[in-house]
Amino acid sequence: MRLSIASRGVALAGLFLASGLAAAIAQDDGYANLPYPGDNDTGLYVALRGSMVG
Amino acid sequence: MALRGSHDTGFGGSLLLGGHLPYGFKVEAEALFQHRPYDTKTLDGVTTTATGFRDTTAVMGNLLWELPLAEATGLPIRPFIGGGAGMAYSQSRLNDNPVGTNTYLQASDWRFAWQALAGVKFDVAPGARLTAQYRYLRADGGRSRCATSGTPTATCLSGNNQSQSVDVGLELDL
Repeated sequence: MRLSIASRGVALAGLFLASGLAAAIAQDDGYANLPYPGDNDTGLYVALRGSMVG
Repeated sequence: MALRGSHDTGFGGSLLLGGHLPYGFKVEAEALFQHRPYDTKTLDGVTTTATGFRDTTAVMGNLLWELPLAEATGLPIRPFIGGGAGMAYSQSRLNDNPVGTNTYLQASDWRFAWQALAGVKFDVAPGARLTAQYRYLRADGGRSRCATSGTPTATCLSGNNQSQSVDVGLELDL
């Protein structure tokens, strides 16, 4: 499957829209004020990501 | 000789350890892998199906900045931009399809690499965020060996290994 630059742009826009939708749902579920490091806080995190590569 | 290999869409993944810094800055140590399969080659103007791969393994140090959107709006969305630098090992091979005795291009090389990142994170649970990002990764000056038939022996070109990817994942505070 070959994706054009335009298709990748549409896919990325879809991800952003899905993110926004999920965030709105999360807000309705009371996740809007989850604890998060503030301006003067530090801490460690780990992340795992999968990629679609062009 | 004019030789060009074309990639199909590939896949990859990354694992990283990050640190929250003051004022929305983040610093990360990241290991990543990308695999892109070749599907066609063009040799002296003639395009035929091909097989092979271009793999990239890299270790990168990143600096990101999160826009304070969540603090300003109350929405659990955290857009970010950033970049990184490190070393990338590029390995590639381009063959006929089906695989015969000819290998048209071969490379295996460590090179300086840099990347640009932009995306969003959104909070899904205390200390847990889903992430979606765009990544432009580039390693400059990788050397390749080429041949029109048989096995490549001589260095034929020095070029850039660059990729674009869309990454999705999960981020957890320790």
